[in-house]
Amino acid sequence: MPWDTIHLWVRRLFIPILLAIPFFTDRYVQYVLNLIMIYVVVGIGLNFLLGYAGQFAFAHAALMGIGAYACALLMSRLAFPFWIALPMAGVAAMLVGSLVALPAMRMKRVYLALVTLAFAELIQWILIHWKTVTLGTDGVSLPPTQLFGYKLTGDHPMAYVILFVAATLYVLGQRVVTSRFGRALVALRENEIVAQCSGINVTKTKLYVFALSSFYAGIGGGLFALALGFIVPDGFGLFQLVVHFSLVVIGGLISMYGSVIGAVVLTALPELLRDFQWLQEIIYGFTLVIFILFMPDGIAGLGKRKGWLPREILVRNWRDLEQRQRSHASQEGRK
Amino acid sequence: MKSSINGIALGACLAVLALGTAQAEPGVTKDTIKLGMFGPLTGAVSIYGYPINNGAIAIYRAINDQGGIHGRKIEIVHEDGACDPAKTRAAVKKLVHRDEVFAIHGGSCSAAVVAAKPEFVENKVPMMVMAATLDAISDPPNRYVFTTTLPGSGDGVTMIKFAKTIPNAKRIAVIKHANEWAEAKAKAIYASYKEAGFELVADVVLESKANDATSQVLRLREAKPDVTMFLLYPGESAVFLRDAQKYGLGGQFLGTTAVMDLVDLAQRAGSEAAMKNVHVGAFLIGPIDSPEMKQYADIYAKYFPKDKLQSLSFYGMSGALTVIDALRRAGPNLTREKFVDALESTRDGNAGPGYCKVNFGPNKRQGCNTGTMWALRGGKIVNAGETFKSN
Amino acid sequence: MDALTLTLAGIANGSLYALVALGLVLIYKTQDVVNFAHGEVLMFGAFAGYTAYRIVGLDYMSSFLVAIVFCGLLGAVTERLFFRRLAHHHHITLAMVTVGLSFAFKGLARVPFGADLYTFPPLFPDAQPIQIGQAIVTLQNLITIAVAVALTTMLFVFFRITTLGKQMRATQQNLLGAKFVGINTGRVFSLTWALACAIGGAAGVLLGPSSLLYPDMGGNFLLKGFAAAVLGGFESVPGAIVGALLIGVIEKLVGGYVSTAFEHISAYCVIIIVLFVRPYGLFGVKPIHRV
Repeated sequence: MPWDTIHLWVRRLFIPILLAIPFFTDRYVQYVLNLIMIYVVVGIGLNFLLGYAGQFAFAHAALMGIGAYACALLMSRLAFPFWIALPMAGVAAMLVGSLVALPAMRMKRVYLALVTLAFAELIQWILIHWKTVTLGTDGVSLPPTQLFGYKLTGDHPMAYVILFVAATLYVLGQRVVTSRFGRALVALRENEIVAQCSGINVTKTKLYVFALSSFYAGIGGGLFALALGFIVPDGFGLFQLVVHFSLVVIGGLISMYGSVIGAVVLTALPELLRDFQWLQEIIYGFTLVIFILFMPDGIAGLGKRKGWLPREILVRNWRDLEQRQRSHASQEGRK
Repeated sequence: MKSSINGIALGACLAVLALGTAQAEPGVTKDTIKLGMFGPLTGAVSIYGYPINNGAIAIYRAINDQGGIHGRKIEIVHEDGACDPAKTRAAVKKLVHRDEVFAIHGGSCSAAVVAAKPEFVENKVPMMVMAATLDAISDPPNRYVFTTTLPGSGDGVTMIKFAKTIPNAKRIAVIKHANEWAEAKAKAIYASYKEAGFELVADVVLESKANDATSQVLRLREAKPDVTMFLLYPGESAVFLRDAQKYGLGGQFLGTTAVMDLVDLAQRAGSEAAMKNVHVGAFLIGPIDSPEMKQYADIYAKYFPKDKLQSLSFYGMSGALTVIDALRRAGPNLTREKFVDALESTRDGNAGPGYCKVNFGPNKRQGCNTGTMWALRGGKIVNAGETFKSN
Repeated sequence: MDALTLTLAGIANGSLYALVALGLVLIYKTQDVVNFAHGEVLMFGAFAGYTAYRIVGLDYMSSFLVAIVFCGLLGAVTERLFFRRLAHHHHITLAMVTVGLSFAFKGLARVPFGADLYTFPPLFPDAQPIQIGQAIVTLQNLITIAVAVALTTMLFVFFRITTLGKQMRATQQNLLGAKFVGINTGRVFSLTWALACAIGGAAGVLLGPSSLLYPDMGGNFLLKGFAAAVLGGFESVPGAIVGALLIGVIEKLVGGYVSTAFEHISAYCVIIIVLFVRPYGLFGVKPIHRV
């Protein structure tokens, strides 16, 4: 199988296809595709923290909630346009995430999990009880999205907004993981002490990855609010967290493709299983178990091993590097 | 040349055909009417989702067996919302854009229905709410959204009205969940208690799925209320009443329409003694084993013989009967707009097992606003009416 | 407001949290897995007891034993099927497997039991609440506390005195070393899971009368048990118990004296504060890593 050629064409055609799809879908399918793109953003964010950096942190769903609420409240109560509210949602989540990170940085594994979980519960509690700001359990309705007077309501116009944001954040994510910072994250995951000995500032790195991951979660939440038009505190609790974790684990930890694959599988599958209602929970649970039993590095991991997916090497321009090395080696050989 | 003219002709014919079929009303054919239905069919709330929707389905099947409406049988497309706003929105989108249903009868989770509301409104799909009680769904009135379920405010108003008739009752207390379902009822209470001459002496929160209400009951006990209104789900209501008995919280207890199954409540609370001073709101014409309810109980049992019969089984029936009545009055040339007009002109409609006459109007989309209070006496549920009588 | 009443109610609840926390700590110490399905083990125990008591018609004590044995078997089978082969995987992977199992278990339970709220009577259904000074407590509360104490004591004795217990401790301390001295570590794993789940099942039967039985009943207790175990120091068995009792009591006291709206969240606030000061829990010891 000439996988390299296939990869090349997929890389070239991916975005054009996504741009063209909204012309062929009905609103239901487009809504599901929008949700998939939103979960790609969320998944990338969680992958930074859980996959690359190996931090077992449970606050992602609550931070998504903060992003959703920030975006919704700025738009509905302060009449901000969405192109200001959305980045601010990311910033708000980033600030809260960094706050959570400060005590959490000292902790490992279960203690980290529990502290972040405790913060997540606290955030949810505030969303429900701080009625004067968040309107509590009544929920917040967003006004229609507008771009300089042109209404962007409806799943098809929203698709372009979401696609733009998701694509930008994906490319940003790629650059992050193939940078020194990205490699520092993996070093952190493997062995914190060795990383520190190699000169990586562990504290700073941890703080940055928490902040980055929270930013993505916030943007994901903001997009979620825009797509849904109405948010309530309920949707950002443990169930949502399990969805996030499932999607990165099934998709593949330590992999950008993994976030995309996981988002697709975990959003599309429940929709496809609509006819099997009472079995849904059982299928979902056992699928999760089976996937992990047989594919612990996720679908992306399997894909990379079999060659269906290109390798993800954490160095920029590794293809040129490889080419230069090969030509160098052949030159050496000829000498 | 020739081929391109043929192509144009073919294209024109297809366009005319397409236009022609596009103008036909979605969801209506010569012998079927496609009705969309959704509710919490999976997840923690599915315990309530199924009986409510099944009640409505039973009514529709009964009508089908009697020949349908103007020769058309009702076909139900049933989707799961899992009580999640995003998933419910997806379910409704599927019903509206994929299955192209004629109208929708569904929704028992308030927040999820509000999230999905823009779908009905923007696409002009008539929507009869199944059992969601949040007032914001049907008020301010929207042309396409109707409900025959007693809204949350109605529950609260019924409770205050009844409390007023309790002799020497001056101090009231509220125990509620911290969610929109309980808030809707609480808001009605907060809005009307002062006018009714009460003093609110305690307002406590019980989290859902709690197994112990000690701190809540002790706080209430300290405040010495004459009437405690418990805005709780069935399981937590049982826990509360049990602990109220245990710690000796006195006074009268008023519950919401969520706990109409008083025999179950007594069993879960552990004793009938716990039910001595309990009255609950009800919007059914009688207890489920009473003669008035028999015909509806039989209909449910006929189509869902293996289901347990409980008050939830009847929640959806008034909506179904109203839908059927309006479909009839809309006539054989059925369109969505005619259907909406027919619904709007419902006067003194038959609510089946519902305790009211269904009345809609040009600016009125809440069809039923009356409720009554039930109590448990001698192991049987009795309609205690709207005035308190000491036993 | 009576502080003693609140404290006693807190201790009763805390005992249940303690049983859940014990199960979690046992599994974690042996296999480094956080069992997020433990709440469902609780639920299975409750329903197993219910089935034995109401449907089959056994007496209370036998139903209790049935629940314990059923959950024990469930634990052993789960370990053998799923975790034996995954032992070397990353802890996140293992945690996700338990999450998947939790969903699957809930879904399975909904098939027979998803349509209603079921009641499980207390051991002495007609017993009146007991008054101790100003405080009121039910017999069932006292029985719950007593059973929890009894189970914990039995566990201590088991670990100190019996060979099997010593083998389990050895495996927890050093897996390779245990294998060298001839301990069948596979069997130890299964037994650990069986023991942990059996305790969870016992907690389920004790919880049944106060919480009503439904497939989602375990979720809250898993969270509180997890919180309790971490508060005490996830590697420490006495820590788990202390943590659990603390959480149980603090919840009730905050609910009674501060505000009922804070009750649920108070445990988490306490944890944030405690872990800030002691990042490894109250009794936890900072692990020494060899690099």
